[in-house]
Amino acid sequence: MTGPETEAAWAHAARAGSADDFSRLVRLHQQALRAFLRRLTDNHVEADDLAQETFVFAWEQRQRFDAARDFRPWLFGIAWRKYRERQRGWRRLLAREMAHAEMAESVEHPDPGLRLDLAAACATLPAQQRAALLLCLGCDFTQMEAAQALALPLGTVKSHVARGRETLANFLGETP
Amino acid sequence: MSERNEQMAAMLAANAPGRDLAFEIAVMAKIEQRRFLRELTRNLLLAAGAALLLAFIMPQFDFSFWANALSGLAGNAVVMVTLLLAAFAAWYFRPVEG
Repeated sequence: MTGPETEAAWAHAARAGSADDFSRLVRLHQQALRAFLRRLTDNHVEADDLAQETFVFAWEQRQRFDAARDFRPWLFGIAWRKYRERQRGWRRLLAREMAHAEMAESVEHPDPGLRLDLAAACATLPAQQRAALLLCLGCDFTQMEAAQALALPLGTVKSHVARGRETLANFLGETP
Repeated sequence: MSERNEQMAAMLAANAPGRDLAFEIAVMAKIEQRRFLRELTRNLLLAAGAALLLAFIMPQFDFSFWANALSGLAGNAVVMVTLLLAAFAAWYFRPVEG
């Protein structure tokens, strides 16, 4: 019982205050959301922490959810904003810059052992491009849903996905 | 979706976390905890507000008439409360049927 109609019914009931139905939504989406955030942050602990924050925030802001729309893009949109908020912290900014500098070095001199390391390949993409690619390829979102989640125009998402795919293909040593 | 896209999608989906019951419980526990704290804060604020209000308005009332009138009934009240408690205890500790 995980069809879109059931999910919509759970979302509707959760919006009205049903914690039981919200827990069903948590069960339904936790895997995909944690996978998305793990790819985005490249840190399992931080990703799970963010995923928890996302669900708690979604519960607290449930009145803002538009029942006429899908729950999943709304939820992933919250996760994306939480990720961006956390990124803005100066400590993380420093760590990210250092990680990026190390990554840039490894891209200039590709290590054969790194060719299949998708996490490393993803880390070279700008955050928005990575998120668009992860949603469309990794989480089975339509480009419209990804645009809704990331609050970006559809054209931008299309371009992000195309560029990200190309970069990954190049990094993984495939012909685009 | 092209073969390359499918390949990439499979790679992106690889090593995805499994369904984690502990995660679900942690989320719902956090939600309950926040709800509890919010309600506790609200009730404490309401109680503090009510206490302040009472402290402000109580000196305006004169209760001496009622205090004098009811003091004669204090003995009767003790007897009544004792009887009520005894009746409640008899009902509460009644033997279980069957």
